[in-house]
Amino acid sequence: MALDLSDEESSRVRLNRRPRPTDSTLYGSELPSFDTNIRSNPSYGRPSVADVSFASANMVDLDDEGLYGEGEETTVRALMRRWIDERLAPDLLPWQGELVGEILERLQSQNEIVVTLQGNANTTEEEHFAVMLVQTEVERIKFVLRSYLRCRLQKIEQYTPYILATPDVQRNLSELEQNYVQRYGDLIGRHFQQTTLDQLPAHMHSLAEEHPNTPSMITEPNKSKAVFFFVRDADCPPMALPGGKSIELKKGSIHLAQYRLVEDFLRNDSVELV
Amino acid sequence: MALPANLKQAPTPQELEYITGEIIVAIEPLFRMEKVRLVSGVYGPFRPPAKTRVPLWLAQSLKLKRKCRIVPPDWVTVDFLTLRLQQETSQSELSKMPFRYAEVAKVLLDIASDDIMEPDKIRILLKDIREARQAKSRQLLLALDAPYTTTENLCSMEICEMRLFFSSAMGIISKLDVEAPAQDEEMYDF
Repeated sequence: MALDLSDEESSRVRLNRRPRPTDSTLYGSELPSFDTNIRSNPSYGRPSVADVSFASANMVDLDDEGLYGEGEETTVRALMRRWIDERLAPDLLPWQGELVGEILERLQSQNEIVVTLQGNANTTEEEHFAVMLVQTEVERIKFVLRSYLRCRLQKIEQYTPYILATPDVQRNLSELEQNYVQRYGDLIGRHFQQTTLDQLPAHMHSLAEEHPNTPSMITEPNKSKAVFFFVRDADCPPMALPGGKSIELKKGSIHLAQYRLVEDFLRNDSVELV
Repeated sequence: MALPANLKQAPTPQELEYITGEIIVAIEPLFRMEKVRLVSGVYGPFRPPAKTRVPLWLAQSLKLKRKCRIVPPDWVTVDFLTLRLQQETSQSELSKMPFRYAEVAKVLLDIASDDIMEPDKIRILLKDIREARQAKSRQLLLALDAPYTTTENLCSMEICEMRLFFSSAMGIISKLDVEAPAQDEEMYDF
């Protein structure tokens, strides 16, 4: 079996004629065609013993490194970044449908290979070991995915009336989440109505009423919450502070600021929350 | 509800350690295997004694099965850490450390202390560095101002440790600021 990734092209042609994964599809030389990530990130995941440097203490270079040290951002790291962003941001961030879709697709195909290999009596011991590693990774990713979804769900439940009243925020939800927020809002509304509001005088029935000197009954995300963030982009525009000053955001630096100042940077991916 | 209350505020140290699993480290495999394709990339081939680079979680899993030696990163050496400790105690600014140094060091010392030279010294140095940095990061509180403060060179675990306090302190400062004269109030009008 050829081991070099340069053989990828020829094996890909072969694989196209043979869509089901067979014996050794787990190995790099027989990459099925969806494995585009390897191409775009040549520095990541490849064995490159040459750059294992054993520099002396003074030479250890820590500049110009991302949060993970070396390597480009893979889909898995991207998912972890979105997960942490979501966990730390006070409001709902845009739904990462594309990323989640891609991850799910890869999990699915890994699973198919695992099932095929496990059902095959000719699977070697080495392959069984590889299957175990694949399964470990699949479980790792599933954990992050679940936590990401649960975190969004928690925010949706917490801010239901606010989300229903703000079409801008609704655009950040996936289709499923939009259905959910509608149904959840209905249920909660009906529950409030039946248990309490119906017993009150008619002019107090609304949950949206505002009184001076009392906080609103609709919980909104606290955008003044301070968040720590890391600058990912080399040419991130400076952050304008209220009062006319502005702060230069150097790549790789870490700052603490109120969420409302960071929000736009977060949306166009130039910073991440840490 | 959807998310347990203890996870609502911020990611826990355990979760940060979990993320650190995606960091790439070098290993010396002690078994033979061809390349394996995972979701995050293709790793291997594993052929002793050639080194190969894998994510930390994979190295951890192989190490626990005694199937590899982990090659510690450049900065896990007594020389480097002694130098850092000197800088840390002589300068007033925080020096630059790998962002997830605490997590990586913990994992390595927990499971692969036999692959590290002088693990006990490393452990002591890391602890000293942590304490020196902790004292300095508390000094940052003096400079804390709403709505922005720079926190250069802080590391993941340090942020995790300070997050709640700093974030609520900034919240209080900004509330106090709003009481200021009317012209300032425009500033908060986004």
